[in-house]
Amino acid sequence: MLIFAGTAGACTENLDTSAGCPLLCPDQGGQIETITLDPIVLDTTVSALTGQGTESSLLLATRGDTIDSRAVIRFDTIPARFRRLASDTTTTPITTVDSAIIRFRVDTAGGKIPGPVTIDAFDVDTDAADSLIAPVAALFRDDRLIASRTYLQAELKDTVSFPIPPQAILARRGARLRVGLRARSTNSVQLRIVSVEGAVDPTRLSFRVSADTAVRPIVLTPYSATPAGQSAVAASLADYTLLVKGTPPTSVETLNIGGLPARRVYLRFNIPAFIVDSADVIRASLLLTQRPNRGVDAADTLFIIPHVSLAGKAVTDVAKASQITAVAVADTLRIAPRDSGVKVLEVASVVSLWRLQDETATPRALVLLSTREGQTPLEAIFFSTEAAPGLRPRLRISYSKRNSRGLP
Amino acid sequence: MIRPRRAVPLALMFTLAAALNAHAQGALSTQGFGFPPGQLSTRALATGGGLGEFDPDSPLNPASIALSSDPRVYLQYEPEFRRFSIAGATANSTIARFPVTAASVPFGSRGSIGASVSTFLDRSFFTTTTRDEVIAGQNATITESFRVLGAINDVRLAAGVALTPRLQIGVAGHVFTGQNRVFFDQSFPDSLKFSPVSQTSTLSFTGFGFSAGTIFRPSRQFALAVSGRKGGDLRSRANDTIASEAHVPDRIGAAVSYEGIAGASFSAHAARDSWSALNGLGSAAATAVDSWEGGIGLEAAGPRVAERLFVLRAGARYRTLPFQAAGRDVAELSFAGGIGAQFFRNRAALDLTLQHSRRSPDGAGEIGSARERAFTLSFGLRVRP
Repeated sequence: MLIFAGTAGACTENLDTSAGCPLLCPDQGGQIETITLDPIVLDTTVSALTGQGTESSLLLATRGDTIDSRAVIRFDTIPARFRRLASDTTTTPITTVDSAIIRFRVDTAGGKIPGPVTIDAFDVDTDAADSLIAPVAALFRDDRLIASRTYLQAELKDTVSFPIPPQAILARRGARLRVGLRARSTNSVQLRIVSVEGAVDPTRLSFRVSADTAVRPIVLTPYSATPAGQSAVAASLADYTLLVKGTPPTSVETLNIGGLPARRVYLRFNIPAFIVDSADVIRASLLLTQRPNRGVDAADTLFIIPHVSLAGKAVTDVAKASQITAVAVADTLRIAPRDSGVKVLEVASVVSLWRLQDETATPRALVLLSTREGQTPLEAIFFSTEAAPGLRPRLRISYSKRNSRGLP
Repeated sequence: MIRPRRAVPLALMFTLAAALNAHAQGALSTQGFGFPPGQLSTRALATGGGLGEFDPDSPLNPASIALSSDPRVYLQYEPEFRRFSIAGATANSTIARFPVTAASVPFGSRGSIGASVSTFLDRSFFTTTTRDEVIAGQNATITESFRVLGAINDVRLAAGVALTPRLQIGVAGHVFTGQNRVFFDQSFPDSLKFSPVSQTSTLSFTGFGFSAGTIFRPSRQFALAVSGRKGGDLRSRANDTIASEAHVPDRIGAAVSYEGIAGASFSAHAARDSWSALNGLGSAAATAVDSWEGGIGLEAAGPRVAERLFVLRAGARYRTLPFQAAGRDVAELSFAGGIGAQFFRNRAALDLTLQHSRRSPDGAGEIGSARERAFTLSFGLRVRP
C-alpha cells in the first residue's frame, strides 16, 4: 500500500502553495513602468492604391454634391450562337432573347436608403483605356440608358433582380456588354453591390434564347477581356466601382484614413532599443488626436485597424511601402468622423513583433486603414507630427521592469 | 535536475538523479536556495540520522564505504506530502525526490571507492499571486506565476580504507553543481490591451569541497564516527556570467553507535552546518543561518517472515533549516520508522521509511502562526550485482 501510495503520489504532484504569499514569497520585481514617447519619425497620408476593381463591394452612392459613385459590370462574352442541347454538335444563331435579367447581391450595411431607390443601367462600353474614369462616366447619359427600375426599400436586400430589355443583348451578340449602374432617389442614396472579389458568383446575367423550354437559359458571370494580356487586371475589372466624385483631398498637415478614394496613414517609428530589444512590453498605446471631420456621414462609425509594414528599406516609396503589410492582431479603433480628442489604439502585439524584426532591414512602421477601405466615404482625420506638440501622435508604452537572473 | 512524472528507468535515474523534486515556495522549507533533504539513505533516515555517519549509502562520512566488500548500487526514491498553513489558509503539496544515488566498488581487501550524487539543496516551487495595478491610467488585475525547478547537487567521489579492524578512514572530493530554471509569467485578463510577460532564466552552480572522516570501534559494542567537510568556492552563473559567489558550507558531524544488545543497534548523531557561508550567493532576502542537527535512532532485528528477516527501525531528528523564513529561523522536528529486508539471496535489499516532520518558525505574529507538516515516504533499493 505504501509503495502504491508513494508511486501514485509522485504521479500527481501538486506544487501550488500560494497560501504563503505574499509573506513567504519574495518580491519578484514585476513592477511596471509607463513612459510616453514621440517616436514617430515619418507620418503621411497615402493613397490606398487598391487596384481598380479589387474592392469586395461596389459602392453605389449619389450623395448630392459630395459623393457620386457608380458601378460597372462587364460581360465581355455575349454569345452570338447557342447549342440547343448539350449533346448537339452544331450551334444555332441567336435570333431572339427573352427574360434577360441581371441578378446581383446587395449589401445594405452602412447604406443610406431613405425610400424607393431607382437603379439605372447604362451601356458604358467604350474603347477608352480601362483606367480612365471620365470617359466611362460620360456614358451615363440618356441615349445610353438600357433600363431603369425602382425598388422599394424592403426589396433591396439579398439578391436583386434587374430586368433588361432583350434588345440590349441582341445588340451585343458576339461582342461585349458593359453595364454601368447608378442609384438615385429623392434624397441621398448609398448602397453596395457585392463584387466578384467579395463572394463567389455574386452577379449573373441570364437570358433565354429560345421559346423551347428544353433549351437551357444562358448564364454569364462578369468577365473582362481587357486590358489584353493582363489577366489579373482584367479579372479585377470584371466589376468595379466608378468613383466620379469622392471626398475632398487631404491636407498635408493631417493624417486621413478612409474616404474616397481610399487613404491610409503610414507611421514610421524610432523606439529606443532598450524598450524594443530588452524590455517586456506589456501595453503599447498609439495616441492619436482626432480632428473633427464634418463631411459625409460624420456621425457614422468608422473602424480603423493597424497593419504592420513589411516593406524593406529598398522600398523607398512610402505609398508602396504602405501596401506591403501584414494584419496585426491588435485593437480596432471605433470612431465617428466628427469626433475629436485623443483616441487610443492598442498596439502592444505589434511592438512585440518588432522585437523579431531587424530594423536596419525593415523599418518599424504601422499602416492605419479603414476596415471598409474603398467601400465607404467615411473619413477620419488626425493631427500629424506637424501639429503642436500636444496634438502630435505619441506612443505610450508600459513595460516590465523585472530583470531577474533567478537568484532568490 | 529532472522532475519525474512517470516511471524512470533505473539506469537513467542512476545517471541523472540527484534530486528530482518539486517544491513550493510560500512554504517554510523552501526558502532561499531550497530545502536540504539531508543526504541520508532510507535506512539512516529511519534512525533519525543516527546511522548516517556509519551508513555506506549516506554520502556523509567517506570512511563508511571502507567495508563494502562487494560492488553495490543504491537508489532512493522519496515522495513527500506536505501541508502548509498560515493564518487560516492552507495548501497541500506533493513532491517527488530522488535524493541519493550511490555506487561503490571494493579495491584490495580493505578498501573501497565510491561515487554518489545527492541532493544538497533543492529549490523547486510554484506560486501564483494576483494584484491590482494601474497601468497607463487603467486599473488592471495582474496574475503572476513564479516557478523554479532545480537543485544544487553534491557529486562525491570517495575512497575509504579499513586500516585495522577497528579503524576506518576515508576522504572524498565534492563537486557541487546543478541548475535553477526560473519561469516568471505575468498575465492580464484583457489580452487585447495587454501583452503577457514570460521570462525564463537559468542559474547554474559550480562549487567544490572535500571531506574526510573516520569510524573507530573501540569495542564490539561501541562505534564512534566523525566526519567533516570543508567547502570551497561556490559560484552561480547566469548566461555564462558569474551572478554571485559564496562558499560551500562547512560541515562537521559526529555519531555514536551502541550494539551491546543482541540484534539491536542504538545510534545518535550531531552535526553542525555552516550554512551562512551561502550568504551572498543570493539576495539579502535569502538569509542562511548556521544550524545544529541531532538525532537518535534504533535498528533492531524484527520478525522473520517467509524465512526472511525483517529489520525494524525508529528514530527522531531535530534540526534548523538553513534559510530563514521572513527573517525567522525555521526548526524541524521529525519522527520516523521503517523496515528493511533482503531479497534474491541477499543480493538486493529494500528499505522503507515513513517520516513525519513538523516545521515551524520561531517568534510570534503572522509568520509565527505558520506551520508545515510533512509525511515523507522513502524507498531505498540496494543491489549487489
